Amino acid sequence: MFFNLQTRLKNFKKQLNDADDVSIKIVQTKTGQKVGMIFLRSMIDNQLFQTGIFKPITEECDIIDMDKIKANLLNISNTKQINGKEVVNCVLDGGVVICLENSNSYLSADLQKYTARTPAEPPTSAVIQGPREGFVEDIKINLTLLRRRFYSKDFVAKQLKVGKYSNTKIIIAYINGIADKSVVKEIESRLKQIDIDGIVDSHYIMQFLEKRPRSLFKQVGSIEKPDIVAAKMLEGRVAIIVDGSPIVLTLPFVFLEDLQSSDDYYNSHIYGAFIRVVRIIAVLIAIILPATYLSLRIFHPNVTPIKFLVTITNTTKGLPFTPFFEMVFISLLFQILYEVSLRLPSYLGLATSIVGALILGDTGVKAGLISPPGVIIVALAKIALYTVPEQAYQLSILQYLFLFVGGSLGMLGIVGLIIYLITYMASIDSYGAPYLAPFAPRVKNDLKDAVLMTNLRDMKTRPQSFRNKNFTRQK
Amino acid sequence: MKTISSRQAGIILCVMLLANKILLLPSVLYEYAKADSVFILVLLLLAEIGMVFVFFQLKRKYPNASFYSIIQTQMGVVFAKILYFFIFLYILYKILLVYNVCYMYFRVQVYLDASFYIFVFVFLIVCNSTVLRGLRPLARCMEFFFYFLTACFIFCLMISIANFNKFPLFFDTNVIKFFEGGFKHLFCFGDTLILFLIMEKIKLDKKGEKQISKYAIAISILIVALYVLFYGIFNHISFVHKNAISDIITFSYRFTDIGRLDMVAIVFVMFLSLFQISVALYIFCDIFKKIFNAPKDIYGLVSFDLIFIGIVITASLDYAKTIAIGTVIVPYFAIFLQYMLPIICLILSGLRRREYNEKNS
Amino acid sequence: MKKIADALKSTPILLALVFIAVCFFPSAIIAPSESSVNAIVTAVGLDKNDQDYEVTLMTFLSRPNQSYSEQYEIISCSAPSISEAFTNASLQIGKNISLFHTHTAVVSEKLLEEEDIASSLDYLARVASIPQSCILISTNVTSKQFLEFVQELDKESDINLEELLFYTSNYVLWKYTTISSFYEGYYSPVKCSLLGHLTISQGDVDGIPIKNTENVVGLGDNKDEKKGNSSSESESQEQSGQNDSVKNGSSQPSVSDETQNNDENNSNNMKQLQIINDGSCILIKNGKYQVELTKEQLQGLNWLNNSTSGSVVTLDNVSDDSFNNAKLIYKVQRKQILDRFEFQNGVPVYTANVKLYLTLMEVNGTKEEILKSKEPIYISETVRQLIEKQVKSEIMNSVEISKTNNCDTLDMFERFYDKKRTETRKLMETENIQPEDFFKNVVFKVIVSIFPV
Repeated sequence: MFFNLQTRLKNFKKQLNDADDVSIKIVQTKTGQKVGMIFLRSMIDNQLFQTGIFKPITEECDIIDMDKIKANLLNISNTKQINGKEVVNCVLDGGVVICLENSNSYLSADLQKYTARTPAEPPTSAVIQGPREGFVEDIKINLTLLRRRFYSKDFVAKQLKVGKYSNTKIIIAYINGIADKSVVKEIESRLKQIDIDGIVDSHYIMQFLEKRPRSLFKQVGSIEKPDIVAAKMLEGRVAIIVDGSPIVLTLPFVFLEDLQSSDDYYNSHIYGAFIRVVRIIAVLIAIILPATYLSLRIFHPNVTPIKFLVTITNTTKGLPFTPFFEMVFISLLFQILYEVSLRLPSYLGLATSIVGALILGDTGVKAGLISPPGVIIVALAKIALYTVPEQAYQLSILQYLFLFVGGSLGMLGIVGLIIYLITYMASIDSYGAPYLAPFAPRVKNDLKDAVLMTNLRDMKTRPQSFRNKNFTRQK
Repeated sequence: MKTISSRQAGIILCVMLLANKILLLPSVLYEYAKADSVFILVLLLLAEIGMVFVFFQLKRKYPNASFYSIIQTQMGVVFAKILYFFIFLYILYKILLVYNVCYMYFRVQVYLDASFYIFVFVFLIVCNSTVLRGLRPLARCMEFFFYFLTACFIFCLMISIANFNKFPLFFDTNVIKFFEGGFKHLFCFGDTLILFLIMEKIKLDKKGEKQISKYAIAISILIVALYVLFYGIFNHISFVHKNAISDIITFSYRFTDIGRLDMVAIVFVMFLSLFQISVALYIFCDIFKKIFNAPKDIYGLVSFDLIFIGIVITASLDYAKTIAIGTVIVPYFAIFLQYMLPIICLILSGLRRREYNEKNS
Repeated sequence: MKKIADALKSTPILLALVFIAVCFFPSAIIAPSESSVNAIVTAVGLDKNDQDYEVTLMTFLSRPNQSYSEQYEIISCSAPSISEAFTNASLQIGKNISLFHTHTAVVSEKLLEEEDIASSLDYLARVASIPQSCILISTNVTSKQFLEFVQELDKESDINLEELLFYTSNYVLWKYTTISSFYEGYYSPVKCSLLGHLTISQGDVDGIPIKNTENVVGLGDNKDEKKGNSSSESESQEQSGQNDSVKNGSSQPSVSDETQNNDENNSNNMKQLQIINDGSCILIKNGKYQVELTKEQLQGLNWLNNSTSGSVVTLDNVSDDSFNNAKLIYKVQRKQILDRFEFQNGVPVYTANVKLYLTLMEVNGTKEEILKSKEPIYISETVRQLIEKQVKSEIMNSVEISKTNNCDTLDMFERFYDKKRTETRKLMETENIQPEDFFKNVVFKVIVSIFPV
């Protein structure tokens, strides 16, 4: 027995909590047959609805049959017949669900449309020469951006939905024949196990994918540009695209990845190698320099070069703070300025610079509150953090940690902490990839793309630091 | 079981071979054999390399067995426990030796009258945590820093070549003094024993054997180079300079403007000492587990920490006492545990196999 | 509590941080800069007055300043032993004395003459951790006066002692003149070392003069001399005010700028004090002063040393086909010494073939003579013979002085022992010769070969 069309549609609307943007329309065909439609006004393309659904049904359809209707909806690319249980989900996905009197089947037409950002160059992954498009918040566009780089049947995209309320679409993308199936399965099963109310961004997912979720160290790759994701997929990694997030996750992840930049591959490999060395030096400066300076001041003036010691002693004479306090104070000052400049509207940026550089920095030095070497050291370290923007937050924490240890225990403490952290990192395993590969354990083949990278022509194989189905890249 | 690669084993061997040889030893050996100490070193390093080959033989015969189980099979449970107890004490001594020598070095060179608690806590925290992570992360960590440490060591040698004064006077020692010097300082050698004690955790093949031998030979050459340089630079005053690796750099005043270049040596020794103690502590815990049937590493660690803190606070085994014990009592243990025990095991295993083959035939 | 414990267990970095925080943060927070509790000493001087040792320290004292400036003060203290003198100095300035950055140690000739300086240096090397690479020199005045002079020199010009000595040691001196090299000689079988020697003198000699000598205790004029500039005047006043109570020879520290009762008659003569760095050095045996070698005498030893450079050969009154009583100066571009150690009839014979690669550097003669010798490689047979003769005589002269003073400056014992061990031992046993006396028995043969380059 069939309920009245109106009643059925109202039932669905009730299931959607009588939301204001749920529309129910009952129209008549040329033959006077009633056709019901339910959809979310806020999620569909209204123009397409008028031309692609409303008009064909009311003006062109004469025989009442679901197949006939489907055949008439020529402008709609994605239509499918569904059952009653799927109606609500289809409506939520931005579809228009069409139903007929005296029929139990439903037709869903995908008319989803919402305002999305156009792909633009992401601010933290800018390149001098190379593709400039970046991912956006729309999963479809993101998938398209990736698809465009693989005109191959082997590009696989599996969709899942995660989040009790958000029902966020997640796509697991990989290249069949390269990516290891066990890694894909493990990722899939981890995603399926997620039981959370909603996923707002890919970073939510990231935390569920990390094997050591409480660790400071990032264990999942987060990328903003399709060319980089494509390159990683070609290496045998799996990409995870999350709806609503311009960040695509990749796995397995090794620490070295964030020291690499797409720019390295778009320039001469010699320059690439050089810039990677610079990046490593910058990371070392960012983490260790303030701590070393502090330990030299508190514990080891005897190993400080005399001229440097003279400068330090002269400029720090009469400061009201102990060395430790001074460094922490300057570091916090910089951190506060960073936070402020990040959140303030751009038109206030100049004002922040003036306050930061002139008032706090210069006047602080002149007033004898902070010393010039301290300011220089902290400023250099803080700037150096952003040579690896993906790891900037982690490095920032490490910077403080080293500062505390350097101030409390001196050089031996710093070396001890380095060993402690590296041993910890060496114990992390990211989906079969040792976190510090290809250095520890040493994977000779992968060293070609490590610090001193070689020409692309010499990289004949895929990375061997993690499981891959096919290691040969070129012959 | 999480194994380590042969490369990592080679690196562990390199690090342990450097233990106690690059700071105090050149100077104290000089008092016995003058520049001929180089030959004592060469002899004892050759013995180390020889022991590496004994290790390969034993490993071939028992690819997955631990040294403890080999002793157990060859000599019985009780004897194995007794022997392991001596090794346990010996390892404890080695840890204290490394700690005391490095402590003195750091105090004189970098820390101006800093509290010894700093050293105790850094050593304990770092070594405890690395041991808790297991041998593999520790080996990987050492592998991570291997190139850096090698570069540091070579840098120290290269920079001090400029200070080389004249070739030391060789073959000018009394033979008795020569052997006495060698014997009394056996406590600074025999680091290949470490390989035996972790043998079940090493994944070894033919290529791996080559790799480990290469590492052992290369590091031995570098150590010998250090000694030649040291005696060539300091000649008659070698006995004054107790921190060889640092002193060969600071000999010249040319570099004063850019600070003390021996900072490289200091950082190198810091890394090295922490690694050496970590490896030795790992073995200490492993032996503890075997002797006392402890289920976890933590029991061994806690007992070590208590012993260590007790010794350090009461100064019952300070720098001078450690060296004194090292030259008087330890050589007798060292010669048996480091050299004879593995060889006996190898011979016994050969005899057993022959008996077994004869019976079968 | 359980939650905290779980969090700590699962986040090892947090655990480490908490541990460090609990144990070491309090001390880290209040820890002052080490440089503020240590007085950085860059030069040390050792003297002896009667029974007391006087230690003079050139100390860096910081002054709040945004730009780079090195300002040193001279602090001195006397006590029966060096360690006590250091302790006194430390007490007086309220800081630990840090010798890690000391680059120069000065001992006075007087101290060298009186006692074995190894014992004086012992405290510095053993406890105070003075770098072994620290330059060790002697001076004709007291080391305190010397350091005061150097301080003035440093204030007035770009020339500083460290650079001066660095250059000298590389180009003029026989060996490095460091604490380490001193000990090396001291502990060697021949017990002989060489020390660099800097003289402070006045009058008409070559050297680096300083105008403002009123601050130099015992040498300068402190009353009649007009102050060099206003800043030094104010500084002098300020310091003399600070140190009125301290006097030389007591266990109190005395600061350089203090005024001392000088003989006013000397003041006019002392106006132009000069530091003379002529490359001379002092021979030390068993840590004691033996003899001073002049530049020329040192040159004689340098001819047999491969590692020294910068030598010149000066020929006066050269007369040959091209010259008539001209003066020629040749620069030694390269030097090669081929040694031979042998025993002839049981006598050790050292034969040195000194190959000199020379370039004509200067000609003091007539216009024609200069024109004739335009080529830098000009060496006639006569000139060749003259050079050979001069070099030989310089070598033999220096060897003779060394023999007279029984100082094996050329390491002959060790070199013979190394090359001809059996014969050396035999000779020593039969003749009952001690290693330090071996040098006396060595016969020197020198062959000089000249190569124009």
